[in-house]
Amino acid sequence: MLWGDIWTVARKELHETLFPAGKRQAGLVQALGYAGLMGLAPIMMGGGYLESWGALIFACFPILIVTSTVVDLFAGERERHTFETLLASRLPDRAILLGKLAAITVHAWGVALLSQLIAVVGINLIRIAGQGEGGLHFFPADIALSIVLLTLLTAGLAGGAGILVSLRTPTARQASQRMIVPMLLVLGIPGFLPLVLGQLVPLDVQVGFVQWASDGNEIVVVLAIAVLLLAADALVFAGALARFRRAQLILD
Amino acid sequence: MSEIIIRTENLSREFGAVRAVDQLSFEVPAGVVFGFLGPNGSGKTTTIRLLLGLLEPSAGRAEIFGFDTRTQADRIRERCGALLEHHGLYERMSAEANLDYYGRINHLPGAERQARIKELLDHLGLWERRKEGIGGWSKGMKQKLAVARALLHRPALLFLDEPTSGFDPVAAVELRRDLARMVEQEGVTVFLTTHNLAEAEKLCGQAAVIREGRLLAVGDTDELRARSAGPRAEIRGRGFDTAALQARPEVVAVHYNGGDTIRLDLRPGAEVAPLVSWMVGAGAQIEEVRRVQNSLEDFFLSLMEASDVVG
Ligand SMILES: Nc1ncnc2c1ncn2[C@@H]1O[C@H](COP(=O)(O)OP(=O)(O)OP(=O)(O)O)[C@@H](O)[C@H]1O
Ligand SMILES: [Mg+2]
Repeated sequence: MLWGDIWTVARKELHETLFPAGKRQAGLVQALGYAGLMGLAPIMMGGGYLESWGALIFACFPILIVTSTVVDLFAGERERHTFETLLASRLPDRAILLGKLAAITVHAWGVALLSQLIAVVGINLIRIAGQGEGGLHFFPADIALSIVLLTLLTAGLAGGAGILVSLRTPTARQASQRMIVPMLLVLGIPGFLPLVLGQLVPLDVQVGFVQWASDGNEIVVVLAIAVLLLAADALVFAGALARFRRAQLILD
Repeated sequence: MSEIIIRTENLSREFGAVRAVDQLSFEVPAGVVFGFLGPNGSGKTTTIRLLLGLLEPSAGRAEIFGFDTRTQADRIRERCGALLEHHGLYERMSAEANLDYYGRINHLPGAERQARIKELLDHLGLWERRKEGIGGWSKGMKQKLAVARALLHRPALLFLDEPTSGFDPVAAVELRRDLARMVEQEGVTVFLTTHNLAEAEKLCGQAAVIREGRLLAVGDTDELRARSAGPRAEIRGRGFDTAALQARPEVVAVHYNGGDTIRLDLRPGAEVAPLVSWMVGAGAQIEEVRRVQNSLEDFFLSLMEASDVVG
């Protein structure tokens, strides 16, 4: 029954985001446009992009879209006075929270994967137009699977962090202001951590690590990151569940 | 004696220094429309929130279907339908999608859900407009849809916070009729707040009146009505001697603004006919005499006046 309830909530959230009544397909067009925009930089980088593990970083950027969708989930419901009626329903706490988290994660994950698909198509089109060379190019299997896995976990983390900070904000506006720090943390850490480590760790250790990793051990590094992300996801979700106290969620 | 559905014991809730609900104790039996009446800010909405487990009581307790609102609210909410202070509809979704969502939440299977949505929207005259986003709908239309959402899964207990606000007179009569039928045929219990006391009088078998969070009266509506001051007479004519009328032992108060109608509040048990003979004898010319039935509104107003004096 819990899974059914989660699906009920997730389905409605996705539908409302992608196909708001009166503005048909507006949400879908927005997601497509955003994914297209995010696919541009990889297209500029050309065929080399498809062989590079750096694609993992680019694939995670589109997840920033959660900053615009997460504010609707709790703060928006509260602001539009739909939240109290939802809380008065028979839905269990976990279904409301997990359903909304699932919707926002799937949305951001979808946009991330779509941006990479657009990049692949773009790179192939340019290649064929330029050289007339046949054969479609795609990510090697290990990079492709790593993209699928890491974007999912990062989207979950970004969504969970967004929910955690916006759970008790009264308006969507305040929620989007509060979104800045968690998003910087979620998406900034992968960007800044290598720079910080570069300063702290002795050079020969760094070189050794890079040599070891690029010697066919990239997937080990990806899996280690995935485990860390999974732990962070679980932590953030537990935090959100702990903050979700039904009898304290109505703030006027 | 029928089963008790809602029971509160010294239920209280404070917001800072404000005592929104103050030691409420009352019972609501199964199969009645229970009117929860009180002026603005008297704690009606807060009480509904407490009963649904959406707020924690500061003191006291409440039990619905035998479940404690503090610890077993999930079990309570499963059995309830609610139309709260705000209609709570998603304005970026269509009317049908709004009902469909709550049908799924309440575990109505697909075919039954669709049939029920059609039945309700047809009944409300909104079926043709089911695909529209409701953002542009009128207040009353949204309110009707919100009522439909509360009724969708045929709950055993309905909380309705001012359900007819925004309704036209015909729609209000229809909702009253629907609720009365559900109570009679399906044994549903309705907990309802309203500022329309004429409506409460027609609809509610029992009622409670609260003010500043405190219970002032509770009981059968008929009995409450009878409890208000004595009968009243409305007399049309000319030549009234208000000073002499005021001095009569059976008259409590005289309301006269110089027109052709005078209103008299009488002591309980007072007879109108002898008073009229006396008035004619004193030179009044009388065209029409009407003995006025006490209304729930009279009772409500007299309670408010009395509690003004006390509090
Ligand atoms: N969340 C809240 N925070 C602070 N005070 C509150 C809150 N909710 C209600 N109150 C206060 O509690 C009191 C009762 O409010 P409530 O909304 O229950 O009244 P009501 O009887 O429903 O009034 P109305 O007829 O206007 O709907 C008011 O003084 C109100 O200001
Ligand atoms: Mg109210």
